Amino acid sequence: MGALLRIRDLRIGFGRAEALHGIDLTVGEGARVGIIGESGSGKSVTALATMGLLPDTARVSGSIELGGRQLVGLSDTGFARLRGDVVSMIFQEPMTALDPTMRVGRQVAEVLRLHQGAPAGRARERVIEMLSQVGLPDPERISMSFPHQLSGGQRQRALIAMALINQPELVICDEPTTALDVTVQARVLRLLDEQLDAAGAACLFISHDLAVVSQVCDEVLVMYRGTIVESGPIAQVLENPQHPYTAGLIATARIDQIEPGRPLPVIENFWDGKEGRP
Amino acid sequence: MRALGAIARQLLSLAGSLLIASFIVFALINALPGDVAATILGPNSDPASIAALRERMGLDRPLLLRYVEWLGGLLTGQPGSSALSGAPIGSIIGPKLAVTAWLATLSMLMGVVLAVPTGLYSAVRRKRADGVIISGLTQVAMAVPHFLVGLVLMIVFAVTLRWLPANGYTPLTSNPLQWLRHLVLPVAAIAVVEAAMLIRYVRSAFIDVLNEDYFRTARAVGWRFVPAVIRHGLRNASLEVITVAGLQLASLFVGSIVVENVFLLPGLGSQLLTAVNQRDLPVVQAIVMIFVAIVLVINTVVDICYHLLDPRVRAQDEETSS
Repeated sequence: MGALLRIRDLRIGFGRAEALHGIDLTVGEGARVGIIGESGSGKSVTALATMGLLPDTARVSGSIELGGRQLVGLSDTGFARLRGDVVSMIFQEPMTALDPTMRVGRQVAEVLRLHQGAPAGRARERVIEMLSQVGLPDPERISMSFPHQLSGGQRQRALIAMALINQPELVICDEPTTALDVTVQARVLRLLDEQLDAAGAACLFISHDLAVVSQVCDEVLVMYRGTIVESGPIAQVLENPQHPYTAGLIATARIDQIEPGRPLPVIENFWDGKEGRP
Repeated sequence: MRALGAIARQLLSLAGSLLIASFIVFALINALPGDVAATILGPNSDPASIAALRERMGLDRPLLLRYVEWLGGLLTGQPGSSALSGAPIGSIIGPKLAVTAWLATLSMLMGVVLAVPTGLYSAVRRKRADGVIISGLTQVAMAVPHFLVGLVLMIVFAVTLRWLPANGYTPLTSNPLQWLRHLVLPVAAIAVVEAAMLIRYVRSAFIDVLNEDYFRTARAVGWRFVPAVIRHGLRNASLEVITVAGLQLASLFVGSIVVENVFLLPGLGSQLLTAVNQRDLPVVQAIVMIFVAIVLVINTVVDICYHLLDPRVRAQDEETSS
């Protein structure tokens, strides 16, 4: 399997602070890589750099190659051609991620027409097909609805349709289910799983939730304070964490295994080595 | 169809508001001290001749009857005649209304044309030097009164450079070029100050939009910055801006009197002042009613714009109507 996304020594700074201290990361074609870490660990910044959506005050150095194209230093026009076509992104906030003044079908159709120049009639057919493919009931009605008329889960499905309609090679998911109800979360994750398989797309899946990542991904990277502290196949990392931070993450995620009466573990305990590995 | 129904409801409520407003205007003007007949006859007239004139003018009849008559006149375009000259009010204030309407709408139009791109630019560059400078300049320009800008423009372009007339007015129909030359300076004077105020609202509206998740989505699906702003930013930002621009336009109609006086434009404001000084109450009453009507119409147009631009407002309307 060839490498689709290859990041080498990526450093990102804002003002005097450096948010990312030189990370290396490879996503193979069709591979599912999870990035896990607390907020501020640099996982979202990595995603935004790959999309070319960092604020223009950010300083970026190193290398991001997508299918052989160098993305660091690419112009916004160059990035715009790739975004939504070769690489697309699904964000955390489905409630607010759609334009409230535009019908959902038109927003999905825009993505298709922007990159493929499809005529309106054919675009409409494809949009309906895509909306039903992401499990939206009555796709014709949904396509004529405004975002405020849909539920959070329906909106996230519409956004997944937007992200996948051009069959991208890489889909970046930034906590795509965090804002949803737990029951809806499970269904949307399953859908995402199927759709990624069907499209043969690779996925970079960002989350702070180990359970979610282990459901979707094959490999996982653990980020902490702007560096990757651990990486490997997901089963191996979960069963045998090498880094104390990873061990802490896993232990704090399994609170059902804490004996009653004992204090809940916090990650600092693991740094100090006070706590054994689980 | 539902949209048309909602617009019809807006227009109906406008008609209701106008009716109520007309009664208030009529009642207030008639409650004012100062008798028209006494004013016409002068300070040395005897009570008997005043009473005779009141009778001739119909001022002795019941208030409500006179209101209904006045209202009927308004609706048929004949709001009575001047108490002093006897000329029909329509022919007195028609040309003046045209001057004020041109001045206010052209000023606001130019203000919007200046404010939208500048506000957008200063929103995008809000953390850069030029964005901060624009923001600071608008703060200063907002505080400058229209007439001061008008005087400066007049001194530079009319007195020193002699490019444009310093004052006066030519109707559009008699000489379009002269009409334009007379309006350039007053329109510019008002537009600069109004634009400064509007830029602040445009800027904050666009800063909100640029931080919105849907704007990020638009960028993430491949829109370049400017097309993303046009397709997904303008409509959303305009909701906030239209409200402010509507208020500004309404206050320009009522407040253009100062600039009209600086440039000696024969507008409605100056006419109102003259009529008040002359105690020409029928004319005062008609002009006040026109001002009230303009404000109400502008508010209705703003509401209709809201309705057309924002599907969420439409949804609320449909809920309340059903």
